[in-house]
Amino acid sequence: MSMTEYTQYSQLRIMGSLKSQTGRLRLGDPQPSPFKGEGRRRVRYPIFVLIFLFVLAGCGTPKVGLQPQYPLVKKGMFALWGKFVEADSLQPTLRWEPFPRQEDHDADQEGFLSRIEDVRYELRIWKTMTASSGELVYARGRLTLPYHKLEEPLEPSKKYLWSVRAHFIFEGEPRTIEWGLAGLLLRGEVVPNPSCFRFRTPP
Amino acid sequence: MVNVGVVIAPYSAERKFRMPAKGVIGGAGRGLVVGAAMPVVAGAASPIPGGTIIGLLLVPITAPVGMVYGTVKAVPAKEVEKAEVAIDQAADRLDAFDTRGLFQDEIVRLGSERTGLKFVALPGIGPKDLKEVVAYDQLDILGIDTVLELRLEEGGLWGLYTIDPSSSAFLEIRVRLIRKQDNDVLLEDTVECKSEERKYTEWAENEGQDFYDDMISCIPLLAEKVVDDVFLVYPLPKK
Repeated sequence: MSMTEYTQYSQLRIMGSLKSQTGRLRLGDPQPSPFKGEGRRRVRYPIFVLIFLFVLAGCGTPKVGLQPQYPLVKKGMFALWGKFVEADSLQPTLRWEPFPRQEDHDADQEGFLSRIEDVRYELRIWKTMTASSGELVYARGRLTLPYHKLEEPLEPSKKYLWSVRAHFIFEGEPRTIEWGLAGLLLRGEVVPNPSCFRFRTPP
Repeated sequence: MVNVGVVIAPYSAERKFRMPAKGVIGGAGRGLVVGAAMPVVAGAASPIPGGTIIGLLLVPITAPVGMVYGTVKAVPAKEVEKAEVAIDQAADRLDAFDTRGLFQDEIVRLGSERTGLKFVALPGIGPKDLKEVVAYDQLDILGIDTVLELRLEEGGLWGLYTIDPSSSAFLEIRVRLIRKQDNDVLLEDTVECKSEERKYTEWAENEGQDFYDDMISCIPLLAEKVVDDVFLVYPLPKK
């Protein structure tokens, strides 16, 4: 993939019009707004109610990247981000989706996945006070399996943010995917940020 | 091999500080504004039809309540002013420190380490002010295919508009990737680093050293974010 294609991706992400019908990224036409013209008054409230109900049902947690399998993301009804779920020990085994995921296989129409090799995972854990950021306390790279038992104990009764991403080789070049995030996605912020996964350690 | 020239604008980031309300008068004023705005915003954001109107109807009650609350909860003016001096001095120390040079070096180091591209620092080149658009094709920078242009846009302490807000130290950077041969902007993005939240007066402790340290610690994080997002993250196909 050329640098131009890379940057198209980022531009598309910014524009919120990411399209990939053929497995390659292309500039998509802007989608027509449902709030135009006379239809606006008719659709506004039903759409808000639908969004409200969707969030209420807990089905609408936005996410990006590999998602955790343990500890899971548990988000309150009106919360922007997940709760600090209590881990089972001070050295929990963190688990996440393996890469490539089923959705990557489903979307792969150009055989991209057959051309990647040497998938490794990178894991980071930050201790946090206010959940807005944190201090890096644990980092591991080049993990081959989608889980990791912490090799050192964390502090008891503390809050932690964590995230994971996959690195791989594509056509001989090192590549990565985005850090796993959930909730209100702060993709323009460095990690750690409030969208990182959360857990707290037992007393 | 593609050679990436790393350019960093020489001007300082705009300072932006969310300060607490100063004293009784400041607290009353801010409390009035927050008390008046809160029901209107909540009403507009709610899914209830006519929520904004309902919110407006509540303003005569919430605004005076906010004013009284602001009067009681405001930080004494002298304390705010003392903290302001300490934080301003810390911001001056940051300006004096070569943050741009550190950022440029970190981008070059990480970019060269993590990508198959060659990163080269281009000191002395770049937009001199916010509005300047540099014609890189006119510059004598041989061997450079692409220019990574970075601007430190804003930095400071920011949080919600409340009586005594908790705020994060933040630094915002504008990133542009430009093809040198025709100045075509291949990518334009803004990335941001934020710290843990503290009260304004807490940021001012030890002559604003925590603020200074958190701003400096943003530099390597931002450099990593720029290199990763612009050069390494692969666009996964979506169904």
